[in-house]
Amino acid sequence: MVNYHFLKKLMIIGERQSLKNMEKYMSLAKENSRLLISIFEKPENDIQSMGKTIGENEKAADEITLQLKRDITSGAIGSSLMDNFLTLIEKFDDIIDKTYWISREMSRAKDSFIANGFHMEPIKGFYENFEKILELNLEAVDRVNSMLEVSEIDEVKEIRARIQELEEEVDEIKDGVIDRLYRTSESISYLMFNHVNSIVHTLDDLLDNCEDISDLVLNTMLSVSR
Amino acid sequence: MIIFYLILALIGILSAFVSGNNLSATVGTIIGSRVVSKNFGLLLGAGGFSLGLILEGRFLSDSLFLIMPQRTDFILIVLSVSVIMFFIAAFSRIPLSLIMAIVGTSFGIALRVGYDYNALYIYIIISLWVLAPIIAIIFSYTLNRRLTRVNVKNVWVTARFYKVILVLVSFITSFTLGANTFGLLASLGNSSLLTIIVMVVAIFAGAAFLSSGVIRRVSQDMYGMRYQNAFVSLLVSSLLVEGATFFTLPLPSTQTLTSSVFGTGLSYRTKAMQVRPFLIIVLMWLISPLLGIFLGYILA
Repeated sequence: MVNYHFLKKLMIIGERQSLKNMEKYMSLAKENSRLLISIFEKPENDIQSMGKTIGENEKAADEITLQLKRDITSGAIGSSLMDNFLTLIEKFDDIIDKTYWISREMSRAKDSFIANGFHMEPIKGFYENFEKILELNLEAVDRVNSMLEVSEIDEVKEIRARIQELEEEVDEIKDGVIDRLYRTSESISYLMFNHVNSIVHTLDDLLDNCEDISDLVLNTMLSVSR
Repeated sequence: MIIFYLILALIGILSAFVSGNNLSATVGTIIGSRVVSKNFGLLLGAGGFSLGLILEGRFLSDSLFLIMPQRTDFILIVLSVSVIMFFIAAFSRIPLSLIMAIVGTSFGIALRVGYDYNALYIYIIISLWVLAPIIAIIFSYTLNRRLTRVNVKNVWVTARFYKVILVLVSFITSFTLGANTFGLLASLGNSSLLTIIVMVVAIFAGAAFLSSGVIRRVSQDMYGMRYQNAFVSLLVSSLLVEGATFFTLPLPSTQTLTSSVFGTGLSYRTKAMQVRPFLIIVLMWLISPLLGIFLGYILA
């Protein structure tokens, strides 16, 4: 008699299951990006509660990371692809970690600017650029999510190409922000300069991570089918 | 009678060690890539060895006696040399071939006692040992290139296909190794029912107690291969060994498998391969039979 459980196990592709499990990060990344957009839109508002939600999402992502790493190292994935998957998990987790870092930075900066009597007006223009980057990040996260669901290589390649375009757009925005930041450096404090400079680089990292994830997913899919 | 049991015991010991060592080559891929659990993989491999020995092992039952006289003292020498060479190989981690050692020792004995061996059979074996790796490299290179060019539509359907087919081809590889290597070993015990029973027990014992270290090392390090590469390597290797068995010719599976793995590696434009380990193995294909001939000649 054919063992049903054996056949069922044979038919489940561990790599696909693990990729699907990584979709859990996506809703957290999207929620955090949307909250950051709200924070940049009106930084003078009470941002504590939004920061708290972002922090809770970061903790949830850490739990997902722990669980996924346990699954992968205990038998879901073969030895040749294990490193790929562990790097993927790190990249997903890093996206959530970085959104948390930005929310903490905004909270600290707001308190510091108010305490030192700085006006936030000079840097609000930069915040508009940050919102644009986060909008692009939302699209990139959506694309990564669909990449985890599709099964055709050509589709995956198309999605990857779009993510690359988004990353290039963000690179241009980042360069524009840094150029403008240096031009206006005389009129803003060092604290503000550092604040804007750090955030723009961290936002750029979000898209870099999405691009790295798309490369890793494509490589994984090519590896299991070739 | 004592010599008969001694021969049986040596065949059993060799069967257990050959089983433990060769399982990594036949089922290492499906265990390493977690297609099946370790226990299931070992069971599949040992089952394949046993079935191959039972169903097709008889094809090689007379082959050694075309080379040397069928005398118990000579059979004892062949087995003793094989056990010694096997242990030297295992402890020094040198990939010596058991089949080559057995055939070499038999030929050494034949030369020493002036036996009227079947020269044509010897020439065919030598030609096969030279040609088989070349054929394996060419076949696996060509097949892997062709498969790589196939436009894969659905990645996960393809992965599932490879997963199922890998289990099947791993079993077939175990089967062909069982028929050829274990078949040749069984011929030293006249391929009798008792010999076959002892060997089957030893094969499963070897799988249970002597395979874990090699399986872990080989399946993680050497056979961390893509599904397609593993499929091509195992398929080409098993076809060649099965063909050799059909023509009653002894052919080491490790020789065909190593060459097939090398061939699949060569088929990629970007090659991140270490040629030195392969050259060491090729060198051992020369040393194994020559050492066998030398020891067989000295001891006979």
